[in-house]
Amino acid sequence: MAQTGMNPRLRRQVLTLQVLTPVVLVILWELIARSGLLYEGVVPTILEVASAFWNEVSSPELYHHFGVTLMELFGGFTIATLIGVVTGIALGSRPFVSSVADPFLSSLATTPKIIFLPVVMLIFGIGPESKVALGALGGFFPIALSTMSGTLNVRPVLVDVGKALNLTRWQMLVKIYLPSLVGPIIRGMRLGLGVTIIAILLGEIKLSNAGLGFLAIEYYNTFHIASMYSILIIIFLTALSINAVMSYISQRFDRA
Amino acid sequence: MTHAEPHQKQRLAFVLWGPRTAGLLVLLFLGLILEVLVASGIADPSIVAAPSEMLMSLERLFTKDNLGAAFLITLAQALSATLLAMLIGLPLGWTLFRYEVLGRAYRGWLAAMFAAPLVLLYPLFLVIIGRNYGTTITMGVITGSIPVALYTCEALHKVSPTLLKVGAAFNLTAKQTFTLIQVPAAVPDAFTGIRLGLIYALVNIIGIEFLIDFGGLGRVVSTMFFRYDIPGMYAAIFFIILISLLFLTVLKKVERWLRPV
Amino acid sequence: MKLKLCKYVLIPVVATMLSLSAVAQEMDKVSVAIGQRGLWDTLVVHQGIEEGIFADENLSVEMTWTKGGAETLQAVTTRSVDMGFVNGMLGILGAYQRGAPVRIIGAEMTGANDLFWYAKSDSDLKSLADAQGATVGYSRPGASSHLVLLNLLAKAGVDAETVSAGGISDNRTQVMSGQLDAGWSVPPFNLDLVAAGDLRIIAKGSDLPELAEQTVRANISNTTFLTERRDVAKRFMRAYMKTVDWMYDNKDKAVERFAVFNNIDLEIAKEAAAFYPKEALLSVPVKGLDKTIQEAIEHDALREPLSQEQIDELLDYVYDPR
Repeated sequence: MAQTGMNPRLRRQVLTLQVLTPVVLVILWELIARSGLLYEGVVPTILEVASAFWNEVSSPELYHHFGVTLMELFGGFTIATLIGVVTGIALGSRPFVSSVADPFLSSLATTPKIIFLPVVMLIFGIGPESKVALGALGGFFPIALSTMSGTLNVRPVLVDVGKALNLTRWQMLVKIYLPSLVGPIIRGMRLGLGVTIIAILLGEIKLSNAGLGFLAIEYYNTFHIASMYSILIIIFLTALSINAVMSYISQRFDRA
Repeated sequence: MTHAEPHQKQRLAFVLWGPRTAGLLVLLFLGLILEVLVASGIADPSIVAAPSEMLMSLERLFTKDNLGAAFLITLAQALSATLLAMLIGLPLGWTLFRYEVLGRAYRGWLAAMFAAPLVLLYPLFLVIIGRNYGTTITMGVITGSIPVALYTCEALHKVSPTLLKVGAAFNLTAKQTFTLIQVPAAVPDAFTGIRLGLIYALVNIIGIEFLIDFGGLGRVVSTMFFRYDIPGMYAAIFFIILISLLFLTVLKKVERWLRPV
Repeated sequence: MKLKLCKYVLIPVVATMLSLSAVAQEMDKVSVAIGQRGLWDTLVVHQGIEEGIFADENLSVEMTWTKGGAETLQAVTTRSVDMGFVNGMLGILGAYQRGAPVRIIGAEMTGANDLFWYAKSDSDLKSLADAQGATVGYSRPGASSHLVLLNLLAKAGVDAETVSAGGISDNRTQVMSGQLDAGWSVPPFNLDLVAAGDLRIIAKGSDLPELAEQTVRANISNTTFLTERRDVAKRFMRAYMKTVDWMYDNKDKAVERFAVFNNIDLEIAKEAAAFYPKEALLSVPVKGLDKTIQEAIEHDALREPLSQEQIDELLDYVYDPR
C-alpha cells in the first residue's frame, strides 16, 4: 500500500509492523514444527524448508519445469486476451446481444475452470496443449466481460463523432473504440492473468509430467514435504511478481 | 392511463424478458446443433456428449449417484466456510479501518493475497488437516475471508462525511455513530465483499473436491471422469454451471435490494 | 595430403554419420502413457528402454507418466498416445461398453500381490482380524484397492469401516495423524517406515491366493493404432514381454535400476521387488474376466454383462508367444 499522506511517526510504526510480522510468523511456524503437535514431517522446520528451497533453485531441473509453466502461461494468456478482447468488443457493440450473453459469461466466469480439465483433455490430449487451453479458458471470461462492459460504456459522443465523419467499421474500431477500451482491457487482463495462472497450475497438478504444479504434487505424493513447501514458495513468489508487473502496467495505462 | 403507458409496459416487458428468452433460444439452438453433430458422427461421442444423453445422465446422476446429496454437501461446506469467513473477515475489516496503522500496514498485503493463487495451498492443508471436510472448508475460509475483510474496510472508509457530521451534530457517542450511521451506510459495499467471499469459497471448494476426489459436486465430476462416463461428466459440469448461475442471480438480487435507491 | 584426408577420414566419418541418422529415422516412434510412476511393474517400459530391448525391435519410445488409469485411458482413447499401461480393468470394460475405441493388448498385473495394508506399530492392529470397527482406507470406489480390501475383510470375517481415503500419500498422512486406523500402499512406498519400525504390515493382497487367477490391470491401445500400425504394436509387446523376462533373469541389475529411479535404498528396493512374482506380470492371458465383469456391474462400471463377441473383440493380443 502506498505510504503517502503519512506523518513520519505513523510511517515508522507501519514499517515496524511490516518487518516484525514475517519474523513473528516464522517464529510461530518454527514453534509448531518443533512442538510435536502434528505428525512429524507435515510441518518441517524453517531450516529444512530453506535447505529444500536452496536445493531446488540450484537444480537445473527446476528451471525446466519453470520454463514449461511460463510457456503454458504465455500461450494461454495470449489466446485468452486475443479471443477475449474480440469477443468483448463484438458483444459490447450490440447492447441487446450483450444483455443476452452476460448471464452466460458471468456464470461461466464463476465456475471453477479445473472441472473443465477432463473436457479439455479429451479435446487437446494430455500434453501442455491441454494446460494452455485450460489457462486460455480461465483468462478469457474476465477479459471478455471487462471489454464488453467497456465497449457498452464508450462515450456516445465519440461514437457519434465517428459516424458523423463516415468512418468505416475498421476505422471506428481502431480510432474510436480501442483507444477508449485501453483501461477496461488492461483491468480485464489483470484479473484474467490471475485466473490463468491458477488454471494452469491446477491443470499441472491434476495431469501433467512437467511444470511447477506437477513438481509440487509429485513431492506431495512422494512425501517430500519440505520440497513441496519450497515449490509452493517459488510459485507464490512468481505469481506475486507477475501480478506486481501487471499492477504497474495497469496503473500506468489505465486512464479510467 | 395515458396512451403512452401500454407502450411503456411493452417496452419494459421486452427489456426484462427479451434477453432471457433470446438466451434460452440460443442455448436450445446450440444444443440442437450439438445433437445433430454427435448423431451424424461428425463430433466424436467419446469426446463430446449429445445433449439428450446429458439430460438422461442427469436423471441417473440424481437417482443413482446422489447428485442431490453431493450438491447439499458442497453447499453446506460453502455456507460454513462463508460464515467462518464473515466471523473472521468482518472484525478484521473493522480493525483495519479503526486502527490506521494496521490498515496502512496490512491492507496492501491482503490485496496482494487476494490476487495470489491461494487455492494451491491445498496440499499443505491435506498434510496438516487430512483429506476431509476440514481441508476444503479451511480453503474456503482463507479465500473467502480476504474479500470480506477488504470490502468491509473499504465500505467503512467510504461512509459519507456528511452523515458523520450529522451524527456529531446530534452528539452521538462513538458507539451510536458506529451502529446508527457507519454500519447501515457500509452494509451495501460490505455485502459485495460477502458475495465475493461466498463465490470464492464455493469455487475453491468445488475445485478442490475435483482435485482430491472427495466431497460433493467436484467429486461427482471426478468420479464420472474416472468411470469414463462422458455424458455423466458433461451432465455434472452442466449442473455446476447451473448452480453458479443460480447463486449469482440470487446474490445479485440481494445486493440490489440492499443498495439504497 | 588433403585428398588422403578426405578419402580415408572425412568420407568414412560422414558416411557413418549419415547411415546412423538413417537408422535412427528408420526407428518407429511409439508414444505410451503409463500410470503410477516408479513402481516395479510400471517401470517395465523404462527398464526395456534403458536395456536397449525396445531399440532392438527398432522402436523409439516416448513415455508420459499419468496419475492413474482414468487419465491413461483418456489419453489412449483420444489418440494422444498410442498405448496405455497400468489401467484398471473396470475402467477399461466401462469405456469399451460406452463405445470407446479401446482394446486390451495384454495383462499388466494379475493378482493383487502389490497391495498391502499397514497400521502404526503402536496400534492394536496386528492383522485384519483385529480390524473390527476400525477405519481402513482404500483409494476410491471401484478401484483395485477397494475390491481387494473387501475380499480381505470378508476372508478375515470382520466388519471394518472402509474409507475412500485417496492416494498413498493421503493414506499415510491420515494413518500417522490418527485419522485412519489402517491405510493402503504399494511398494516401495512406506516400506521405509516399516523398516524403521513406525509401521506394521497387517495385510497383503497376496493373502488372497484366489486373486492370483484374476487380472486386475491391463495394457491397452486404441483401434486406430492397432489397425494402422499393427506390426509396431506387435514388436512393442514382444519387447515388453522380453523386458519382463530380462527383469527376472537379471534381478540384481533390474532392482538396482529400480532403486536409482526412485532414489531409495537398495534393500528397500529388493524388498519391494519381492512383492511381485513373475507370474503376476505376464501379459497373456487376461485371467478371471467373468469375475471382473461381475464386479464391474456391481460397481456401476458396466450397465450389463459383455457378450462373448464383445469379449473376443475387446481382447486383442497383438503378440501371443504361447
